[in-house]
Amino acid sequence: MNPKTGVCNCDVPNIDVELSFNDSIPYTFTALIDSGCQKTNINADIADIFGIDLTKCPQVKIGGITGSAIGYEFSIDMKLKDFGEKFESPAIFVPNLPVPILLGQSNFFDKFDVKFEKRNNVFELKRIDMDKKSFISLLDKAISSPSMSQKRVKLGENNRKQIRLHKSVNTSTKQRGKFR
Amino acid sequence: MKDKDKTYNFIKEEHIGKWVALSKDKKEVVGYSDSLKDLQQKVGKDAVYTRPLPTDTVFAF
Repeated sequence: MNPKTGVCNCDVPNIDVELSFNDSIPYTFTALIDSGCQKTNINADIADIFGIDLTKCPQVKIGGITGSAIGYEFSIDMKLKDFGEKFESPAIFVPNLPVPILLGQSNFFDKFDVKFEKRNNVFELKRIDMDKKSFISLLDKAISSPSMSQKRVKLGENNRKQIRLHKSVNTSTKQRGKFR
Repeated sequence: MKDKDKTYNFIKEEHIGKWVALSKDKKEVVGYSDSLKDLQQKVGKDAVYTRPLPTDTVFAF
């Protein structure tokens, strides 16, 4: 922590995000969850490793509290470990972005409920956009997990309906992360 | 706060503002560079790429 500013830049809600494009090899980056960001921003250097030519992408003006810049609109595939299948994320690639990724309202907050619990230094994510097929896929993957199996058995014993199971899977995608 | 500081206590001054490749368990730095492309060619996909922020700056994204 910097004693003058009181800033510890590990003190932010970061999460690892796997990016890929056209079924390329995925690469993992840290991403900062930023509810004040209207759209997901990605450092333009990342486009280069996926062979994306930003000069061919539509330009968009980016405004921040300290000025403006030109970014490039492009969609890329995004995946969060333990949160189901990858999803396409429209993003703005911004040169000189200080972080690899800013996860913004569109479309990260469309797909995840985010709960910040600063006093406990945790945040909570819950994926909310999964369709039935994705849930079943996630369930199949999770079934090898003892805790997940246990939940399923318990649900069966109680004769609950699939919608209840659906909710259970949804709960399992909820994770708490530490601010770092 | 102490626990959080421990998380990235291996980040040194020379890493600030550069692309840094962390081991998958994020316990050590496996490489760093001004160029993500160079770093990616050296380290490959088995890493978590990040950019440590300077601590003398308060960020408002």
